[in-house]
Amino acid sequence: MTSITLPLYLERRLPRLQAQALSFAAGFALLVLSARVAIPLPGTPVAITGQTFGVQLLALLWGSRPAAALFATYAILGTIGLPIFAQGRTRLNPVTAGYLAGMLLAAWTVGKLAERGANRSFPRAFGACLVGSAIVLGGGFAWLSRFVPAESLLEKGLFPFLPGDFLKNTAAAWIASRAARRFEGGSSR
Amino acid sequence: MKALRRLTLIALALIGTQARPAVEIAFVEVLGPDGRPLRLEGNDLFGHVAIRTPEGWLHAHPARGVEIVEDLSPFGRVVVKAVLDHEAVPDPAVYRAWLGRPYDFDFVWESETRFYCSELVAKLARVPPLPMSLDDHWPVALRARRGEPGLSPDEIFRALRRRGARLDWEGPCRSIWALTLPTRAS
Repeated sequence: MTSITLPLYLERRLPRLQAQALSFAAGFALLVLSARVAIPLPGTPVAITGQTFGVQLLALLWGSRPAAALFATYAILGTIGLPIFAQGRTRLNPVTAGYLAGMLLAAWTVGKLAERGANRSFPRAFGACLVGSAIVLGGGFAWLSRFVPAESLLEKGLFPFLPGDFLKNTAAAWIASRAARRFEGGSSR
Repeated sequence: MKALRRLTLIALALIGTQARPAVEIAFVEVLGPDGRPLRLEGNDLFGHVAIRTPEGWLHAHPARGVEIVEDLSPFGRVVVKAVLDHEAVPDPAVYRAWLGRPYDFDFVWESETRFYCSELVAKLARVPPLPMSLDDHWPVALRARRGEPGLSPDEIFRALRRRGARLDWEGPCRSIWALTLPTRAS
């Protein structure tokens, strides 16, 4: 059974063009604002950022195609020099590029799971977020291994991000499951 | 779906292009006890230099020796970063072996038991040394070594510009000699 995503919800209430513009603007703002939250960590070139939260929420609420299209647009604009990447960077950090590529794939995958009903309850949404996290961390970790010695790879590219990912996934799944129930017209309480 | 596939491919291609390794070198303005920028040679702009590694900024600290730090601001103000796109980042196997080695106050290029800041960066970025000029404010013992191989941060800066480095300016250079930059580049 297909879930109703935010773009579909808006299209039911607004003229198509207006709904698409609003959906795109809101999604893009979510990505840009979430990337503004960044906590640099000592001893690792990778910072904890709100980007993963933004991507998971985007995918759960927007669905696969809009989420992937929005993230691809965000990545293109960021790589050509707009200061929209984490910490307001105007340039992609080569070391962390794998995380960005992972987010693009995660946006589509988690969006696909959401369209199949993963955003209808908190546990299912959380499960979808775990899949997304595995893709992001897997991509980031694999790319980071080109730069960081193998013996310190886990402590620089994986372990510091697990607690934060757990919290971000919990928040994204909670928000998405409540919002998705609203889109369906059911009670969110 | 076709449009999404194209968009995704463009995004991945751009990420792939920019994710290629780059050498990044920070040129730092260091303030002396009088609050004025420290000058190593007459018209020099920079008092210190560091190179980016995946683990942070690698530099030779006069008190702590070769170390990796996250932030160079306690040491001085990063004025400009020179980026050599598509050049291999410093090899961890090489620079990790140098961590903890003391600062070389004698500026001996050949020795790798001690490092001074420019020597460390130049060896990792493959910048060849020049005969040292060492003007009259240096101690006599050092001045006696004029003509021996060595580099200052400004000489590395000029060498990187000649190699086509992209410059990311972090802020205005306070020195009046910054006005000479276009001439130096030519």
